[in-house]
Amino acid sequence: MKKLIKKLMAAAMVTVISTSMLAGCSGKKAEDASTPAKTEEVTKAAENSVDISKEETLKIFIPGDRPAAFDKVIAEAEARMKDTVNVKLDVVFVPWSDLQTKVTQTLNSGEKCDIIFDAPWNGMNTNVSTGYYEPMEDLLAKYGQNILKTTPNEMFEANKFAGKIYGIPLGVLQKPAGAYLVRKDIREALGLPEIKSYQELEKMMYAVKEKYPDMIPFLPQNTAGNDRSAAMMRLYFENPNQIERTEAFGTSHVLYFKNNDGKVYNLFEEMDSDIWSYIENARKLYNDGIIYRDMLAVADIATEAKKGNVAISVKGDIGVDAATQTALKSVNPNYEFETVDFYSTNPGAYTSDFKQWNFVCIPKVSKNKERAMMFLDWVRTDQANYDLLAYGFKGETFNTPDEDSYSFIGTDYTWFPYAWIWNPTQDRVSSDLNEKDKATYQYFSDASNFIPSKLLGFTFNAEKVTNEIAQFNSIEAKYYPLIINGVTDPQQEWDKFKAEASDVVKTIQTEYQAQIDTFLAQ
Amino acid sequence: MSNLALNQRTKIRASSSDTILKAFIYISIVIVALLCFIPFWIVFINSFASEGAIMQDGFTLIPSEFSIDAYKFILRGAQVWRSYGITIFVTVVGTALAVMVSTMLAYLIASPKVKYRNVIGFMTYFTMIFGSGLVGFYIMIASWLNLKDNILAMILPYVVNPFYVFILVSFFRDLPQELSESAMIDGANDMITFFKIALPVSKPVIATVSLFYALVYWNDWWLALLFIDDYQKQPLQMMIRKLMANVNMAQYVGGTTNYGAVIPTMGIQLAIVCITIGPIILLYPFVQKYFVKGIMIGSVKG
Amino acid sequence: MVNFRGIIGFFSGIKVDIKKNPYLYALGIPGFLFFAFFSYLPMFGHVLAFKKYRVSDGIWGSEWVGLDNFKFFFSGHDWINVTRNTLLLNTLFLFMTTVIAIAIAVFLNEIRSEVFKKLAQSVIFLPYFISWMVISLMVFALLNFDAGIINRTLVSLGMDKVEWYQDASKWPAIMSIVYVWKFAGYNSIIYLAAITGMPQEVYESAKVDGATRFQMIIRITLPMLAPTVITLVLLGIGRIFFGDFGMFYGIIGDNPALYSTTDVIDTFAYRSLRQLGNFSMSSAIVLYQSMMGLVTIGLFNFIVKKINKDYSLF
Repeated sequence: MKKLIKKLMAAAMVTVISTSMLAGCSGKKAEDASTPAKTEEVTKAAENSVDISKEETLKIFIPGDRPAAFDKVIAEAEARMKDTVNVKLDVVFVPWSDLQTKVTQTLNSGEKCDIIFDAPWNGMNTNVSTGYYEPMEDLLAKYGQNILKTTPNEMFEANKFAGKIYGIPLGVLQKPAGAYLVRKDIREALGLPEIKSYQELEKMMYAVKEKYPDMIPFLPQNTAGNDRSAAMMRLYFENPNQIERTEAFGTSHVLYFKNNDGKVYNLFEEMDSDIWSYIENARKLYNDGIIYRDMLAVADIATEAKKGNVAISVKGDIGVDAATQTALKSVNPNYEFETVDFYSTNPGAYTSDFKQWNFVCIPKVSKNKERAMMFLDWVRTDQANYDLLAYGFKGETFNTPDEDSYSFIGTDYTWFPYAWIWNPTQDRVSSDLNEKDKATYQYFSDASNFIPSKLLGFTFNAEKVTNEIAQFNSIEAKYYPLIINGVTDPQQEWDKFKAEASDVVKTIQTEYQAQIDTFLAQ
Repeated sequence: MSNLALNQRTKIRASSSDTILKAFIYISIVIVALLCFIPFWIVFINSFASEGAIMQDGFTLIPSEFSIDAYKFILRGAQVWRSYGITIFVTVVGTALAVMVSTMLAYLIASPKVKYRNVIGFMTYFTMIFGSGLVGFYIMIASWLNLKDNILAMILPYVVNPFYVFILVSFFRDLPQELSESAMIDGANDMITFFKIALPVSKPVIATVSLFYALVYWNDWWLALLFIDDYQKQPLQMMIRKLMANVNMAQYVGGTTNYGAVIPTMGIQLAIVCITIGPIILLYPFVQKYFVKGIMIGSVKG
Repeated sequence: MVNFRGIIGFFSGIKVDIKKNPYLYALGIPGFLFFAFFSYLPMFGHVLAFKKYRVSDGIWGSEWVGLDNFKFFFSGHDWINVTRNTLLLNTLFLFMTTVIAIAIAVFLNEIRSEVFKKLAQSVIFLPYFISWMVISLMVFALLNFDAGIINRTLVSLGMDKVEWYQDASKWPAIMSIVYVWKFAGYNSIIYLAAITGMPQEVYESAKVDGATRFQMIIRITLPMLAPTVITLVLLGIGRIFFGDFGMFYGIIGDNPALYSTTDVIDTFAYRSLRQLGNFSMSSAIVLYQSMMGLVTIGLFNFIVKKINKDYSLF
């Protein structure tokens, strides 16, 4: 409870600070009547307007696999909600591989669906413009007070679609964070001190190559994460021009922002010198046999790293999770992972657009929109409610080694709050994180540490350039991963890439810039 | 005399060529069988390896350390047994219905008496290349026929598979016409001829097509994905697909977050193969029983 | 006008035909019903390929956009490449699987030992059950550069290692081998069923004439298999523009070095559209594949019909 109060206060402070920052920034948004924070008075009056005497069933679609203890968890949740929300939960787990098919077919047929997971990488923008989702401002104001309290206002502001809230952002980190996954035992065996810079990391790669010829010195991300490729990974840490990718093409930097100036840049026209030097460095690593030769054929780099023959790999979050560490130790108990990052933890060191990756939405066809929102709100009224859905039963499926961390017991429950309830206030840190990682994690979870991007609240509407984006996606897939991992000669491949893609990219860039200009003019 | 010698020599040559052929055939089949068996053996035996052993040694013929953790993980809880039950039910009922309807349709298309058999054949074939389109298919079954969460939704859409209908057609076409003609003379109509004469002599092909239909139903997760939301009614393959996708999540999830899965990933993928093969592999020897030579001729003579 | 009369003629013709063969048509009724409900009626969904879909306007009410949804596919020049790959690889798969499956069936038929035969039959069926995910792990274990089994063997034989995952030209062959390995056993069942159904008298009289087993295979078994083979090949041709997504995405994944020979229509469309989630555009691709398939099968069926009317599908 103490923890909750502490967190709520922190959240309230963040809201106040950031709202004033926003006001200073764009001068207009705080006045917007639809801003959730402003509608508090309305809420109290409307609180009891929903008749909860009749029990309703909420149908919820989320990705993943049903954990063994889920039935018990749901039964407990339903019992706890009996007097306040009075709903039964019918949760449908959709296989990750078929998420898009299932989401679009369900929404399209108009059948019963009260809460559904969606994400921009899953086609959410198309689903919003097709008209599947209910705008949430009113529902949030009336029934979602705890949601507003537990999610920083920036997250709502930043994750609007066409100016409206169509989904509750699910996330904790206020900016995508990453790290190198390093074999600690090997670093120590090589007699190297803790790694503090990229140069030291590179030194280790070469040392591994020399002393452990059977090991893979470096395995960067291959599929579905171009921003963690050998070259682009470095932008996480060494990014003097504050380069950020646009949201036009998933994880590609071909269209990018820099220095928070509200302009869209195009790598074909203005190759950033840092990026190019990173690419050339990647090529050198590849030629020297540092980057794994068959890296593009590896199905899953995490699995490969767990086999114990990868010295350095990459990761899209902070710290080493228990599962990865345990898997590695099952190969040999002396093996150990550590993560290496080069983040500064000074407030204001980075800008952020506070974009989140995952959302939970309420479809237009739902007949229980109020109850759906009340359920999502109920989760956030009490840390115990969140803990139940996120971790299961204390002492049975999870433990809390200290106030704000967790560790799972056994495999009866798995971690998937990112699919429906994740928020920075109630989230617990995995107890496996070391002190350094924990500090980084907490730094990234706190919105007030980041300078809001000039484009905060802007969302690109891709509708006019859908064809171009589809074309670009397939062209990019042919060249980009090869270039940014040093697999082929960068200059030659880049020229081919440019020749084929620069026209469509130009069209998209122009459209993107036009939308930004309209947004900034408001 | 010389004639006899010549004859003898031909026979000897024939038998020695037969021996060579026989040796060649046996050796080839043994090689093919090994090529098929060894990978399967690797999958099978490594599904019992400890996660550490597979991770470290990769695929081996005999793992260095055994464990049944993967099976424990998949078989925990009631879900897997319930799903097995659903799958078996769908397979049995679906196969029976599908074989019935398909053979009847195939007999119509194969019959030389039917003037428009080619039109019907084309209409059948057309559905195979020109699928119905996902959106229309979904709305038809979920909204119009209202089969959401109904076990029938996993059975009915696959009842007529043009591919198998045409296999049956090509077999029925080869049936000697005398068969049905002699029956007609005895006063039987086409329907009686079909049930009493055509079906019994077509056992090998019906057994084959039954096996194929059974495999279609057994392996299907697609209909369950679309139409069965109630996890208690989900078949084995659907349950396994969720598990597999969770294990390989990184392949499908865009963006920068890693959602680590807490399970023996490699072992599970292999154990899943063994679990899904389960009872269906027993069906094959059963079907082989019907691959008996000379059924057709025997019945014509009789 | 003529057409109209033709249609009327067709329907009255069918009426006459039904009257003539009522029992035969009755046998087809259940099949017709299933077609109607699960294939023909749902085909209305194909109109989405020509629409910009808005849920508020419904499928019919949404705006017509002509061929807009096809544009992304036909704009570049990759569509030629992926269409060619799809066609080429599927042709290879179809041809090799058919040949090997027939060989397996014929060979199995020659085996006298019942136990051995049943055992072999069961074993060659096993690969069918191994999922693409697992197969891709095995292919990687065989072919990876540093520690792959094949490269290690090459080195021990004194040869140079091969960069399998960088060399696109080797992959049509590799994919064909994998495909044949997985499906030949499965397909051989059909041929085996056809062979066992063949009249024994022919073989017996050939034996009396002193024919060798080899001659019997060439002169009797194979010709009698021809109708089944032609049927199966024609059936395969209709789907020749549809790539096996599970196979290609499972084994090749997102490895651009291999796209030039292994990128098929299905994987190409998936990569273009996965982030957009636009099903009008994906329906457009399916429609393209179906149309091409229809044209191809029409052509082949026509040719087969010219040669021997009995062997054509329709």
